[in-house]
Amino acid sequence: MSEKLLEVKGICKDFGGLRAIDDLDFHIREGEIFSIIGPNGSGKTTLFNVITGFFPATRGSVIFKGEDITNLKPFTIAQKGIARTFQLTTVFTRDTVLDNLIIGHRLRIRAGLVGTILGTRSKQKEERRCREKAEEILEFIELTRQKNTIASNLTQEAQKRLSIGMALATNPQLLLLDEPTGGVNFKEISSLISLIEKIKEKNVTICLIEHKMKVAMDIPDRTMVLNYGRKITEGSPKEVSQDKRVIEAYLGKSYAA
Amino acid sequence: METAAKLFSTRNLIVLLLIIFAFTIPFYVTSRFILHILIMCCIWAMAATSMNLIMGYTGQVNLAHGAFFGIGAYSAGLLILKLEINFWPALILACAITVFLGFLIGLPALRTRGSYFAIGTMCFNVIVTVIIDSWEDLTGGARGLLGIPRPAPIPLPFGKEITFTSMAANYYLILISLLLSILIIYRIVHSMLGRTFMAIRGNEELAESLGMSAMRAKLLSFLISTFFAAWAGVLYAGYIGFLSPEISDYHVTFELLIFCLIGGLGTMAGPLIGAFILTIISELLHGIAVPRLVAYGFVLVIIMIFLRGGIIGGVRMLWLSIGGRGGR
Amino acid sequence: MALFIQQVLNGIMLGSVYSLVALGLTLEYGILHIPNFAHGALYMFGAYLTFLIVTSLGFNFWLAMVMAMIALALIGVVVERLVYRPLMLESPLSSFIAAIGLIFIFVDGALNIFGPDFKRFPPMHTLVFQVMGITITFQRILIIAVTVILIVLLHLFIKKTTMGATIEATAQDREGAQLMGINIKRVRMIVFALGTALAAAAAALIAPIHLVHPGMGGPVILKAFVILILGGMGSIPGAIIGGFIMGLVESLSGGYISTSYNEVFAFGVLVTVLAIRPTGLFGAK
Repeated sequence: MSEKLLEVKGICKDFGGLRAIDDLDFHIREGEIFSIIGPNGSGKTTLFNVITGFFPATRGSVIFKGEDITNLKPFTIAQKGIARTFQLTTVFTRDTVLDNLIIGHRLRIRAGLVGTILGTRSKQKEERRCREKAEEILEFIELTRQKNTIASNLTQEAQKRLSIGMALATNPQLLLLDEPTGGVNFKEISSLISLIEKIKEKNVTICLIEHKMKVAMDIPDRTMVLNYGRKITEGSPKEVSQDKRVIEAYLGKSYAA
Repeated sequence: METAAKLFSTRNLIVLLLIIFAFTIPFYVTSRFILHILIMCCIWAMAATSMNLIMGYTGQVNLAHGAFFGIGAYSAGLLILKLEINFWPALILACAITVFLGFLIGLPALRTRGSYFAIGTMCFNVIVTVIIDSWEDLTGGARGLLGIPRPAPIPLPFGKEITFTSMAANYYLILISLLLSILIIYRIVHSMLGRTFMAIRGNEELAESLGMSAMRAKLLSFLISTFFAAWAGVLYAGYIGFLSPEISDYHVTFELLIFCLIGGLGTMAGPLIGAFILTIISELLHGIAVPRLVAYGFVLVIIMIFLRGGIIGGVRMLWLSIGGRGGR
Repeated sequence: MALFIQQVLNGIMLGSVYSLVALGLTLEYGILHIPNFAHGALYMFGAYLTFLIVTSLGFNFWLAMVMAMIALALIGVVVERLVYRPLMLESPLSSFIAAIGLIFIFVDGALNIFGPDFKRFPPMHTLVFQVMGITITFQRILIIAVTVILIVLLHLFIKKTTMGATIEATAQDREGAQLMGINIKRVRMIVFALGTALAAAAAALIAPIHLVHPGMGGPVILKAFVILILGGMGSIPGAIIGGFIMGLVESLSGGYISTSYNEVFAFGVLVTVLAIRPTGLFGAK
């Protein structure tokens, strides 16, 4: 019996006079891959921003593992176990791949000032842990050969892998991926898909925002469609792809008829 | 085995040699002039290194640093002169007072970003100088605070004591303070805490999404910088013996900034190199009517356009271009 | 009562000068997207140039002011081209530091060329009115009048000319403007010339009253930034209104509280506002 890992209840998000998300209700079950699709501007990234605390919700609540996390700060939410990537690939461009991954695990240790200055044993142990975790993730995302490459010198696809790796380094239970295959070519999509499936095997629940139909429909267990900030429908990919309202949202009324 | 190899790496050997050299200087250099220049270099190097922590490593353009240097200096001066407190507890108290003030200022200031933070801290710096200048009853105003004694003697067993009347003694005190501050900041920079600061510098939003509180990191970095700025200020007060509102002026902040930039912002050696080279040049040119700041100005503009990493950055670029490795 | 009106008039005069400076700064910010910290130094240079032209060449004050405005506009273009343009794509810190370098060059250059003493203009309009116990010098009225004329001219330029529309478009959306074929480089150049000319005008207007010295740009530029942050960086109405408010606040608090603390008062207001609203009064996000 899958638990509800994340519950979104009645979330509204207004920007001045514009309502970007309108009374949204859905939930994500533990261990599944859940995707959110919808036309441009339907509020998908805004939803991620609200869930992860980057934007305050105008109304409604977000519940994670039974705890109300609405409007908590982003760093607190990350500490509670939700990690995310950004639509525009975001990594620390001036650092090496390894350094990027090392900092990803930082939230799980206590980098206190006194211990740092005195160079205590426990501090050294913590640093080693971050390094080990980084090496582990490095292998998992298959970037071992680019260990010491500066992040900005990586290909777009490698940078996407890196940003996913960094999110994984935080030991999340829920991973939010915002367009993980954006700007990536056809061949590279399959390798990213297998990475996502590998992540699922590690018992990390995944929620994707996707544009590409192949990714949005093939791999998720369940899908939700948004339009103008409202949920149009939710269900298995097959059900959703045949739903008239979805066809109408993407292609217009004439096609739905 | 590996630790021994690391311990004796070229870089560590050079550093060790430099430190030994620095300690032996008073034995063969007796000129008061040279010792004075070296002492001033150390004081400014300490102030610049601490500024480098918040500006270079954490990426926040803090233009209030000179103010905290001045507040540290004046706090110690006033505690010693008016409350007749011994130098050593005054040092600790002055640093504590300054850090506390830094906390009060930092908390609201660090909620602003980028240009606003720069302008806000610069305004704070100006306010501090104006207050020191105007509050004559407390600070002596534009006339300044005179007659701050050298640090009090430290008692040793067997009835002996360390006195600070000689140039050499003061030199050692200030050198040791500088080395301590470098050691502590070095430790911080090369730790997970340091990586946190640099993550904030790299991309604050990304750092937050990875579980780091930007506010806490920035505040901690700000307070550590302020602490060492205050310490350097107290040393200045004890050595020079005379304070005027100019030492908290925004010109001081800008000069410290230049030291960091010319040496290389965001590197450990950078502020040291910048402070030493520029302080020496400036003291040597003291009598000559050279428009020092005009020259500084041109150097700044040229560095910004052509050599953004300063001297160390230039060296690093050379190193990378001949195949050296990056990363930490 | 008479004192109050006196201070108000003084405040409006000061406010005129601050408005012009803030206007120039906000125009530059709207295009550069970084504050031009060297604005105050250029302002100061404008005052010196006007002074030089009047005392050495013996020209009429207004002619000198116009000539100084043109000269400063040219200097502004050079600064933009040589310093700010290469740093356009770098982090704002680089431009900021380069601006500090410029400040050193201009301010200490002025210090070395002209000396640190305060320069006094030869007496000009000595006409004085006495109305209901208040002393108004014609000089001060002229300052206000010229400021109003300049502001109106600027408004007409922006709203009624093609170049003005171009500038507005570029300020709002640089990439969009480029896609429409607008030459960003030329816009930057013209805006900088405008901004610097306005600063020169402000400096020339106030110079006969407040004297000329190398440090005169410092307090003015800091206040200009306060105005921008409170009125909105890049907002023209914000700069104008903010300028006058700043002038009034300074004049009234100086008259009733104390002059040495009036800068602290202005900055205190700024620091308080930023503490409550970190993005300024009209800031976005």
